[in-house]
Amino acid sequence: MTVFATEKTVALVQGITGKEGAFRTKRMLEYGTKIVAGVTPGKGGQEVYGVPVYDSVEEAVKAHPEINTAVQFVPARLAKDASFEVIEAGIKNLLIIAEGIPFQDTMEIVTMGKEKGVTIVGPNTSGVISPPICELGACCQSAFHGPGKIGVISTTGSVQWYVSRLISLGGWGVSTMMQIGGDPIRGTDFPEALLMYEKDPQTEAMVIIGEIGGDSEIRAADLIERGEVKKPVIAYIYARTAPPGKRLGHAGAIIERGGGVEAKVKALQKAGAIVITYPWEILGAIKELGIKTIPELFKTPIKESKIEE
Amino acid sequence: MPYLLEYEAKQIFRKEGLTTPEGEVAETPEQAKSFAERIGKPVVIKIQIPAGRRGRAGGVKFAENPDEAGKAARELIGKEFLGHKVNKVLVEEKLDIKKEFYIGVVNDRAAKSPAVLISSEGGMEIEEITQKFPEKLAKINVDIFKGLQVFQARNAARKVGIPTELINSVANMVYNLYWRIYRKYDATFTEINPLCLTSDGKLIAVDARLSIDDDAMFRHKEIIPETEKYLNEREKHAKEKGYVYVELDPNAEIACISNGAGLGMSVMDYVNEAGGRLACFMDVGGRFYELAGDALKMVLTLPNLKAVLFHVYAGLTRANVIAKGVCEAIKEVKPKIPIFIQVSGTGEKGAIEIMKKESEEFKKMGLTVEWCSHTVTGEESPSSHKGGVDVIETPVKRVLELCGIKYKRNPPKWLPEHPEWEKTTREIMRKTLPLRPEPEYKELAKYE
Repeated sequence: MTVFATEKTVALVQGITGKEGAFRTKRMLEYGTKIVAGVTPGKGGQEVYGVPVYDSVEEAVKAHPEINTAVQFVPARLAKDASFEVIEAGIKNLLIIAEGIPFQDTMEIVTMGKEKGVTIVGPNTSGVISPPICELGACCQSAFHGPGKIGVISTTGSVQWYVSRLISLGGWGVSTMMQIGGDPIRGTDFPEALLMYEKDPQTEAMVIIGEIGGDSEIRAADLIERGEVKKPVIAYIYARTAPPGKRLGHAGAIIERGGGVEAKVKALQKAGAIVITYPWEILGAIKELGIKTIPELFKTPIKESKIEE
Repeated sequence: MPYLLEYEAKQIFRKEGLTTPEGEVAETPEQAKSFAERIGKPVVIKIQIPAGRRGRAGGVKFAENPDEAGKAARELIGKEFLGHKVNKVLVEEKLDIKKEFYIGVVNDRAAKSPAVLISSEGGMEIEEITQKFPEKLAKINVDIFKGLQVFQARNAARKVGIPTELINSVANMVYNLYWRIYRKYDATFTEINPLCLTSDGKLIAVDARLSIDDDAMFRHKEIIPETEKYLNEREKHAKEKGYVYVELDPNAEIACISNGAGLGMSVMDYVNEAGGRLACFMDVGGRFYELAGDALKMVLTLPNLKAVLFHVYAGLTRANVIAKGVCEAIKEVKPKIPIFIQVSGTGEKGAIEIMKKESEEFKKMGLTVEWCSHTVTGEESPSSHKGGVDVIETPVKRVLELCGIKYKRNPPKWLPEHPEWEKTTREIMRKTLPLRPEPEYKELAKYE
């Protein structure tokens, strides 16, 4: 078993006829993800790489009742409407890729999702990947070797691909990498994500990659301290030299009224998590936990879709 | 995040029916004097800069008459406070204040909903109220769909000890702040501090803070915040193109352009800790990968730049597209300063091919362009560096060296280094890489 993206995932792609939607659908299909339908209003009846396109989520779900996950490649301004459509149609997992969704829209999306029991990951994420079974979104497939044992939860893509690749090449492999995204309001935060991995038998330890802004990492530390997360947690928190008041790339990455790195690091250390100072310390920290590597992991080639353009 | 200046926020507040003091914004001491004359009462002169705690910084002065008002304005306009130059001052009637309260609406990231804050103490920062008078502060977590109701505000006002005769008027003010400001204008944050009760029994918003969600500005095209009028050419250009550009220090020597905020902020840490200075934080990741070349051309206009670092670990971004865009821009601009390009992740193989080929071209053109990628060994071309474990650090180290700064790790005291863990990482890599079926990892193992 793994988290969010599993062998049971049957996906629908919203915005499948768009440039990015089509390109990523092809890559996900080549990776082995089950995608049975796409939705673009006004383009029903077409096909994208053999995947039938529908005008609405409702129609797609009627034709393919096995759909349990929606991957959303629609522009930020349309994300609220598209998300409500997914939730109303009864799909229980939603991945929102778009960056730049007005955060009050996101509040409405996550509130509605919570009421209807929908797990939402994102917005502002490149996705979730459980190697080598299922990729959702736009991940760097070549960074992963699996099935592995380490759960990776991250606000960012970039540094995380590097960390995940080291974990993969190091012989432990990643169970699921979940990029929770860099927005101030997100469907899944560190605490919720940690609890998902805590229940997953395949995951033996979690790595969290966090940043300035908000208190998600501190709430994660509280969970560890209270004993609700028992598996070991390793953390890397960047932007420790960030100037206050400047928003650095991510909408959520700003020091205002708290949210600095020092408080997060201290809370995590106090709770018993291992905090690494540089991402290249990661394998030494995992080894210290006494987790065994997977010998077979070295034998299978890394799975990656061949298309680049 | 457009942070509105006080006078801009107050214009919106007035439009929406929230009472503010009588006042006008002045750009010269003469204007300040004539506004004070028109008001005909003692006045307050307040600097208009995008920051709080202006009073404590000496940016608020009182004047009994127009002459004093002109003199006070002269002492403030053109000066720098809290790192911001004062271009305007707000001249307002001085009120006879009986009592100060606090009301505000903020994002509660944990509850993923708005939170309304009410306190019977005002005039100090909310953090101070929280610390000193926790019993006098109420927080209402609002359901975004139901929205704030007046009774909730009334009950909270009562709870924190606002007198019975005032709870209706305070609650109405809170209600309007939530619906007509926070919700209507997509605020990330809004606050009236202090909300004042005057001796003649009126409730007036003596200060107003409002910050609007950048990503929602398309719904508020009528608002052009003053802070954006002072953007420099580069900031304007980036805003037009739509990518993230934060100018940290225009006179610094290094520009870093990354494809993701995480990598960009990590580079910022390592450069700062080594004693270097980053001119800008720039993120062309996600939807903007096609603008990489454009971004490079833009940073080359920074005056004291000694090197540019392109640091890319691609997921949603495509390393090959970035490599192509950057190389084309380099050939066009022929920069006189060294460029370092790191391209890994999605599209890595294509990116390496491009870099191998283009390196030869750059050499012929006499340009200094160095590069690396996760799976290169440093033998690919004379200008390539080894990737692997070092792929994040090598570019930072090399770029600092190119600027004449010796790279040195120097993390903060509360974050101890673990060289033994790094050593283990390297040992493990040396052992496991040759076991992989992929030839590039076997190759890389020889150099780890």
